[in-house]
Amino acid sequence: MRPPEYAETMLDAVPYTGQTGVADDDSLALSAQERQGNRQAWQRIIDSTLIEWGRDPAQLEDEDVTAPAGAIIDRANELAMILRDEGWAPPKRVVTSPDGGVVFERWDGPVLEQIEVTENGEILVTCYEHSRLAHVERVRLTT
Amino acid sequence: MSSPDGNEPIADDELLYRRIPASMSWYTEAVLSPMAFRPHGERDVDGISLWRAKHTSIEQAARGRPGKQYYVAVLRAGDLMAHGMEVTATPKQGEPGHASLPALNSENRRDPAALDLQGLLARQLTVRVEGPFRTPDSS
Repeated sequence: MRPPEYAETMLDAVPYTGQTGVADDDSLALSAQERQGNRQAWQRIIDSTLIEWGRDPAQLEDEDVTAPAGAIIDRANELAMILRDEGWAPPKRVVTSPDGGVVFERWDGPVLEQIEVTENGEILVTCYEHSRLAHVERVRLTT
Repeated sequence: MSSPDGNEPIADDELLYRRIPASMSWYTEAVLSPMAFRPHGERDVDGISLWRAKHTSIEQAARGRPGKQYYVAVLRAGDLMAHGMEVTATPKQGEPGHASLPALNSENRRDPAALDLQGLLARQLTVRVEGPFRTPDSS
């Protein structure tokens, strides 16, 4: 099985299972309480994780891991605020990539999705289904 | 017959270890992130590092920066080979169990085929994750 090739996509066109904020179908729409919960979860990530990382990126260095540059944490912060405002489901964890990127990860059953700000500031969305790569997108922000 | 020095070929039934820094949160809620198998952009030119259980205890494989904690993902060599991943014995001074996975390297780390393998290793081929193990301060 050949893995899929990169697609180029605008943020609001990404096939992301957590992209519930723009659902037209009432059955997919979240309740106001769920939306508020999602927004608060993103805010906690911004306030607790990303701002803390930005104060001292060196805390993220480890064996064979390069800490993200401050500009990349800022970029991840900017992206988190956009995803918060667009109503995307929050990640279950925020991690760094080995060479200085920031990655939002969420999973549900066989699906694992990553929204990654690379060490170059590029934004990638990667989706795995049943452990295999289902799609990967280079994303341009709409705002 | 000479005793194995780490240069002998890796057998299908050998167990392999992959060190995972606990500080990175790549293993939480019993879910292992594909990031645990993402090569570093400069340090994994010849492939990501693994350690052979035949020559390395799991505590040795987990050894990293003093005072820090590390998980260890356990893999079976034959599973990797069955998916087309060659595992090469690359013993180093004092580390006869060092091995490399050339299919995942610095240059290709974000190619779709490499991303696919990172997901496969994290989500299907990891037999179990052990730890965390703390590296002693004085090491």
